[in-house]
Amino acid sequence: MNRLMEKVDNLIDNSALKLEKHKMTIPINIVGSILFIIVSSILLYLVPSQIKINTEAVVNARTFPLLMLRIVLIFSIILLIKDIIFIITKREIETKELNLLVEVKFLIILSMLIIFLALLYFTNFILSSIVFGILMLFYFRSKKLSNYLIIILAAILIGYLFQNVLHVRLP
Amino acid sequence: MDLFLQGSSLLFNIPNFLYMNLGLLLGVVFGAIPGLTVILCIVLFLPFTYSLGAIESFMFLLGIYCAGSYGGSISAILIKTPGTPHAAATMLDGYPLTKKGHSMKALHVALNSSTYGGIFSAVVLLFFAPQVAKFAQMMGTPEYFLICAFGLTIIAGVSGNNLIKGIITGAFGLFISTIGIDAMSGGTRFIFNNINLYSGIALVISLIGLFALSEVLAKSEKQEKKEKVNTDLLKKEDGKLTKEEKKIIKRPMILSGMIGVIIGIIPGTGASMASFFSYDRARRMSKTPEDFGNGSIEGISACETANNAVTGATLIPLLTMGIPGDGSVAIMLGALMINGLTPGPNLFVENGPIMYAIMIGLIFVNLFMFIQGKLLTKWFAKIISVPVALLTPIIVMFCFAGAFSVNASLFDIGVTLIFAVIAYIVNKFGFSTIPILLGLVLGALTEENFRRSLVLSDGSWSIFVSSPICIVFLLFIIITVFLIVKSQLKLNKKGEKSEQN
Repeated sequence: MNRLMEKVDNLIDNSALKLEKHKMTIPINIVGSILFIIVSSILLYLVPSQIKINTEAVVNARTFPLLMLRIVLIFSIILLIKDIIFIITKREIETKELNLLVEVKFLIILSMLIIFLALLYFTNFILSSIVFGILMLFYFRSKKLSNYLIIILAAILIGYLFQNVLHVRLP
Repeated sequence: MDLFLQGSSLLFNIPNFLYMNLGLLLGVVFGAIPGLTVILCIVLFLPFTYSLGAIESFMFLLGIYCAGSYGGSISAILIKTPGTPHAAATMLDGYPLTKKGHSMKALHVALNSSTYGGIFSAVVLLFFAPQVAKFAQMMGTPEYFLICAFGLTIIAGVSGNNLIKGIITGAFGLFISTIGIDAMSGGTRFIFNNINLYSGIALVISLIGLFALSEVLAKSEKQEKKEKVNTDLLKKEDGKLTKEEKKIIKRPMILSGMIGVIIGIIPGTGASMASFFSYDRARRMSKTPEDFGNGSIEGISACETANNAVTGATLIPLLTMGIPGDGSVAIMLGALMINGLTPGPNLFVENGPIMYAIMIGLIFVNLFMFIQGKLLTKWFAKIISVPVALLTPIIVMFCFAGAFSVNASLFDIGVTLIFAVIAYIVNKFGFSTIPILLGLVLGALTEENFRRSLVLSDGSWSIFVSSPICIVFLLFIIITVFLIVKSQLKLNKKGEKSEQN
């Protein structure tokens, strides 16, 4: 069993090392502003279908969300233009290095959270929490048996606390 | 005086003090463990306040807020890792004292100073807030809209390193707050025919995603290796301060208390600024400035007094005008709203006794923090070493249970996950999530006052310059924007110069 664990550990370490080498530098203001331009444009396009009004009044249910979306759009464009000017004038722009290993880890954690949510549709809170807790301990590569016992106990306690002390109905 | 007595009678109930002490305990634990934050603690335990009354809720949350400030100093002193950002200055002298074998002394100085700072600011709050509230009552809807805009501008400017980014996320937060049924017209907005979105997105659900689950996702990036606390050292000394030492820390305590209060009243400035500023002042005024950085008790005292003196002061703009000074206080604003108390100028008129109970309660929060600190410091020191592998799944369990408890709906847990992903992405691109939070908290209030003002003026924007108070707040906004842009340009220039060198 120990040998198998060691093999798995080595495999994970080697894969992590390979992934860690893949790095990419991105201009965060440019990418971020483009993202907000896309999101705000889509939402602005959806306003007439999502906010129905039956009034001719100047101030209505659309006024405020429209104003906010326009602010997001206009300031995102300003941010984008500012950084483009910086690039043209050869001034430094804000960048960030993205590491493939970090993003893979993010996806793994997100997948575990989605699994936790999916489990809640089929089983109860305590059981789902125990499965999720054990998955997380695997992720952190915890080898202490006491940690697994603590997580099981914590899941039972939290479930009990919400249901019997706070009288909250859990899945 | 009447309100003071009514407030006192509302406060002096056993449950208020029980929840206060529970909050204090949780606050110290979350403040002390590096990687956990006071905001995270408030968000995680916000669902617990649903079944509580306004005063019990606020005592519980204030306990977390104040004790979190002190808790951050424990890890800063013992393992050179500040539990909260504002304990960074405490670390400069706290850890050298630990290395010299005087960790208990450092912890006692931090506790005494934190308590003094907290009580001082609570007293200032008690005397100043009612006066500011009287002034605030002169405001109408256009003035109140401008106050909201002022608060949002400050938070947008100081939450990240870029005002434009802050405005984008702040406006995005305000937009999200409009999802659901429009209170004024009764129509629906952006619900995509989903029945779960009819009542909008509950504040707690978005907060859990933005500030708690996003922290879990960020664990992909952070590799926190914690040092172990040498508990033998804690057992060896009692850490009692001599008469001479008490005399030495008196001056920095008094001065830093005042600095903390002044900085705390200004929204968006925060405890970190107060503690570093006080540290610098104390060093300049000290008879032994060479001790600073080598384990000076004056240094620890200055930082800790200042960052706890901020706590009461930030409540002055919050309780009188509804302007939250930082992220934690913004969540507390949400807690007020959950309890049916509308933040703003009328809060003191409509709920005077409750406001007084909260303000008097803050003094007791600090007193109990002192008692807990005295009795439990050695125990608090041990919990710093709790591994992230254990904490992370437990936090997620609380998040999911908390999100589900709002509407007993699994859909809400999905929404928290979406907010967590949004927070992860925007943080990746250097955007702060605090303006989103403020947008969500102030959204309904801002829109209501904005629309009412425009209806009153028949759609004319001139209503926002129609009174002297409006003009004053517009000037405040312009000055704030100018100062933020100026400081950011200065920082950029400094950065470019240091790059060239």
